[in-house]
Amino acid sequence: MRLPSSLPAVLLPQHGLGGSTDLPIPFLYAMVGASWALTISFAVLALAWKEPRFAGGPVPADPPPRRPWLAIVGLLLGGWFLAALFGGPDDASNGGLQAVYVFVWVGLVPLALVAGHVWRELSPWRTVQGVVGRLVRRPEGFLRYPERLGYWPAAAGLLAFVWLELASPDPGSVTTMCWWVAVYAAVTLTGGVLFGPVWFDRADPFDVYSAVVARLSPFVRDGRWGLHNPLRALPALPVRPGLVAVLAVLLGSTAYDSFSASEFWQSRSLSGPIHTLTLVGFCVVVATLFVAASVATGGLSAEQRRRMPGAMAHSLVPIVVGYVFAHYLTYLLEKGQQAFHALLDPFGQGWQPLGDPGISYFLSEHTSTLAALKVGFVVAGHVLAVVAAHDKALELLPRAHRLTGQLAMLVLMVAYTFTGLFLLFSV
Amino acid sequence: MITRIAGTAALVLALALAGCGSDEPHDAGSTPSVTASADASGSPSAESTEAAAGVTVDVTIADGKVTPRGERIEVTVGERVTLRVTTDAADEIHVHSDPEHELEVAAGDRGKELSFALDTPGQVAVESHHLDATIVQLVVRP
Repeated sequence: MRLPSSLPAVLLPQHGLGGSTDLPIPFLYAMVGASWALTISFAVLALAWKEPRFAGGPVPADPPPRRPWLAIVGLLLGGWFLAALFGGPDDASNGGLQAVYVFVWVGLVPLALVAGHVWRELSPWRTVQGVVGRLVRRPEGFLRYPERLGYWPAAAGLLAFVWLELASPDPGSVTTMCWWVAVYAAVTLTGGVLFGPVWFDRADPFDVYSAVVARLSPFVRDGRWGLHNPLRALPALPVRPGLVAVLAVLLGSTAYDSFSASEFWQSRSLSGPIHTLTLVGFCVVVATLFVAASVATGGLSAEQRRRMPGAMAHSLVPIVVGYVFAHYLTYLLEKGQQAFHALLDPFGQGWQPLGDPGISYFLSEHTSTLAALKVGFVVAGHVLAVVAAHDKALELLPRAHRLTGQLAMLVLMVAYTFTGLFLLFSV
Repeated sequence: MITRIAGTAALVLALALAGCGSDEPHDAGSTPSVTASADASGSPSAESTEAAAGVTVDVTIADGKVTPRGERIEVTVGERVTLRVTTDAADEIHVHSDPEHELEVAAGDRGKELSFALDTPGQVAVESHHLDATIVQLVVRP
């Protein structure tokens, strides 16, 4: 572990890694996206089916056992990232630092969309827990995981990561990242050994993030390949305490990332705690509005009302995924190339096994295509979310309140999407 | 000092106005930043002077504050951008492009310059490392 004093003057990047960010999308693109979102939303409310269609889908099956070869791949990749992070150069060229921000944090989303919750099989922490559990003859751990904790530890872990990326004093510092990863690894391994694999399902921020996004994968369901309608699998997202918090941290932090790059915010000199409070504030506002909108309906008992936010939470997933794609696409593709080349030279020795690392800025150079893609992701996520919420509302709400009971949620989703488009347009 | 700041403010205002004007016809052939870049003379032939003159940003660091602060400045790909820094304190100016550019300034430097061109469309932050502040955000359009 490095000491902070050994840190030379490094280039201070803004959001995790340095480098340029996307141009604002043109006004026309934002307007077209907003009109589509609004029109489709009310079309769904007024014209779509009146009986639930996705309810009572197949009961989620237990996933098959972890495949050993994926566990080995996970161990190798994890070991490589950690070696590069702890043994590499002490500045922004560190391959491990880039890998965490680009491949772990952002790459997780497309991976889960395409291959399902493969994170569960790759996770080196699960592998270590499996081996330790077998050695001490307690594969299921020593303690029972408290059910009422739900996903709250994962929400806290996600908040800790977005704080590091967006609001900490020096997100590009290798030392800071080493400390963050060390604490994360210690907590994750301790929790895993104590509580067994259920710890990763509920408390490991990245594992939970991947599991949530994987519900939207059209290719893999419950760990098995097979083309299906993701809107049928999505409602099977297990509802536990803290689920809304997990989604609110993901959506709120991405919005904060855009907002904090605005001229309004950059022109002020603000202290670190203000950044942190604002980041937390974004997440709290997203969560509060969602909870309020989900219970804003008549005809429910107090007990039913209490369950509404969790029961509707799955419908936030497409909005999160759409906005993450819009926000991070160039970052993933262009910083991803940098990170890949940096990982090939993990110890800063100047190794270039694949020759000169020329980086293609294809997406940045085609600004209209990029803007259209970003609007497309946001609107697609919005439409899926509205359809998912509509179907769930039909299932849960009494007949007399089926239309009016959905209104608040619909308006809120339109508001989320308009805010997202406004941020993409203005920052 | 006051005149310099006023000059900076005027330049920034001109740039901001030019930026506003460019919002509607994004794909139009005219590049508004050219008018902004011609801060010294009214350049008659826009295309030829663009590369030569480019955009100059006057940066002043005084009493722990930097001006401008967080302003948007429109530039085009390949256009020459010059930062002209006057400071009463040592600092490092970082240009967060790929690759990055850096300028070290010492206390009492007047009009120290860093010149570069940006090849990829996007937004590039120019930051004061010691003050941890965004000086300008260069909006690089194709």
